[in-house]
Amino acid sequence: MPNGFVYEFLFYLFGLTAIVSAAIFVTRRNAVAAALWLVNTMFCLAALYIMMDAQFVGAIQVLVYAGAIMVVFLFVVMLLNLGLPPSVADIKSKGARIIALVAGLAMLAELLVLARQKLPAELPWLPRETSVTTPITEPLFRTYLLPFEITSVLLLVAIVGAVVLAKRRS
Amino acid sequence: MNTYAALMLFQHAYDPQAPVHGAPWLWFSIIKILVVFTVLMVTIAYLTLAERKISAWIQDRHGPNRVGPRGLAQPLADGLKNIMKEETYPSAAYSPLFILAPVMSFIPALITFAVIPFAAPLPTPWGLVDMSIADLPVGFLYILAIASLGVYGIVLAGWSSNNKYALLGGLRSSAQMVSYEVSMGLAVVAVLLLSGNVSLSSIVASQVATGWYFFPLLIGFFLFLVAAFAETNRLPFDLPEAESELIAGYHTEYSSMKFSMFFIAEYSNMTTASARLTTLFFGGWAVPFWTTVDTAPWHWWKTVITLVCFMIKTGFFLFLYMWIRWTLPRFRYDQLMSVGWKVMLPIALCYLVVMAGAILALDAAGVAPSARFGDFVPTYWAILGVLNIVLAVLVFVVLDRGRLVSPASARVGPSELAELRAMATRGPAPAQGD
Amino acid sequence: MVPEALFFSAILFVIGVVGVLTRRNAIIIFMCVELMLNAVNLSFIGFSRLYGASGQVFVIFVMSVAAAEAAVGLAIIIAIFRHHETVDLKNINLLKGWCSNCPWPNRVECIRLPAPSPSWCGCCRYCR
Repeated sequence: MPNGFVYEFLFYLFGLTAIVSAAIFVTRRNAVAAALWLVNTMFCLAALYIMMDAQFVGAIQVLVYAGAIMVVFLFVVMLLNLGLPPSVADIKSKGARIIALVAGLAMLAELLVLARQKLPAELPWLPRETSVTTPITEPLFRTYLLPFEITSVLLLVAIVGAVVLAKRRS
Repeated sequence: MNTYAALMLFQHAYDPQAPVHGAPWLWFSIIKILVVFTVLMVTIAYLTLAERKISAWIQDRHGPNRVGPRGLAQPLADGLKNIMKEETYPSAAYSPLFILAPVMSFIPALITFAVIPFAAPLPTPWGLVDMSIADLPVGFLYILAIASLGVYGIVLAGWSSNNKYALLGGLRSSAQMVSYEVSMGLAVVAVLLLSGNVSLSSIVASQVATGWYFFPLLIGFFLFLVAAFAETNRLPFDLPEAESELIAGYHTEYSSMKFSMFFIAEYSNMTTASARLTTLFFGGWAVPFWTTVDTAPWHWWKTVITLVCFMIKTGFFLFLYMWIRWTLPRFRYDQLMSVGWKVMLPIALCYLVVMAGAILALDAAGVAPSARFGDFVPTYWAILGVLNIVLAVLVFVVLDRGRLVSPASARVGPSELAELRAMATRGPAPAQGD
Repeated sequence: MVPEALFFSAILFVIGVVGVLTRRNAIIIFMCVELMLNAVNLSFIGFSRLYGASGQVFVIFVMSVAAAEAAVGLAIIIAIFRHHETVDLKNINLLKGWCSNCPWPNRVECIRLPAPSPSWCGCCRYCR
């Protein structure tokens, strides 16, 4: 079903927008503007997830990343008043930049070679009538039940850690 | 319209009770978007008038009554005034985001309405047209996701104005909305447990079949109501714009149409929150005690009646918003955060555990294995309802003991009374650090 | 559409890596890490089109780990900011024994003295 010109056009549109926003994001000096470009990337990724039949994950992506994590980032940027660009340059020295460029190109080449492996055929799309949560509940609550429970412990540890770290000692 | 499209329009003119598809689906979608947007904007304009009239009624005044008959043209005059006013740009503001911020609070507020089913499906010669703009399979998650984005507009308005009051308003709002989102999401999980699906049309359908959810999920409804008030930044949770401390908070620096967009966003959020309450807990467009209207085969008059029913229910919640705004004072900021994290969140979590356990137990005991998706089973309903009433008594009477939910009517303790008397005789205590 | 998704994912990941290597603002570096996690999520979703819904489950795990990481990491950044009044990683190098503005030739042998500002090391007369 989801083939044809409009589908492919939208897929490339969202993918390229994600990449362009990410590129703008790493080059912004203003932390607030950078955060917003990153939010845009995350939106486009959510759209791509939905276009690849992962609707639940797409909604969760917007809810968790754009709606919670990035809001907390913005909150911290505003709380520490780091929004406006600093007077000194935020970019590392020339050597670091060259190393970053070389590392980036090498990694890109490696990843693209890996991505050109022969892939198996795509699975059929789920019928429209099934609930979007049904396909992931089976693996989440049976196959990966133990990791899922451990995640909750991880979150608890993170909460305790954040409170202890951010608490002002009097 | 070219010949091909015209042919496509008539190609499907056979089964009025099957869902519409193909080119007519696209046309109907466009029509629905235009109609819903227009109706929503007009409703919002008249909500401002309703708010002023209701406040006048509560405070024993007349309210706006000069423009048009009984003040009915007041929203038009207000709109015109806002468009004609001068746009101010503070010189220290960060202008790209200063301009973007109203838009970023305006758009999420409007597009949440896209998934809400507002009437029974309408049969047309081209097939059955869903009376929601897009019946997304992720339904409720879409609403939560988009509602969580509304915070960006406020935060950015606060930050980009480069004004300390605006910044404080923005910070307050982001903390508040992130905190209450959690309780809202948890309160809704109980609804999803009962309905077994996240799509809003199936939530409405299962309420039509098995009865409305506000009775078996009474506490969930209450938690959702409180969280909805906090999410929309309305009194008693309007700290982001507390006029008396923050001189209107995040929109201090805004004027004319940009200010107006924040205003529209607030009323639009109210409308969507009321529609959400209606859809999740009060059966959506379902008409009470008249099952023939709520079920197939569909007719145009069924659509009209259910639409009116949906509007009445949503209108009631909108009235509730205004009623509470002009009745309750606002919380202090630390009270707001402690209510969110120390009261709402634990209650929502415990409630979820209790309800999940109860539903599991009822299913295992075989009271009604198919009650949640099939038809109305009185025992099932009564057990869940009684459980909720017991829990409500526990929460509001035993746990609360007049400290939080009913502090206004609670009696003053002897020590507090002595303190107040002492204060009355010698004037207010000097502030610390003087 | 899976190869395209993997292609987008690779590019996003590399943008994140380059950001981590070149920026000095701790918060931006953090966001770059989030971008890398997102890129990985995209390839997980791509693979879930081929191998079934387990990929989506991994994405949910990655998201919860990212949320935990953001909470702890931002708390660390706030703690650092309280101490140094900056989040520039150039100044967060106390383990070296000297600060970045220290021009002292023998700075390896610097002894930490009470500094006038928390972001200075106070190891020599330039910082005192």
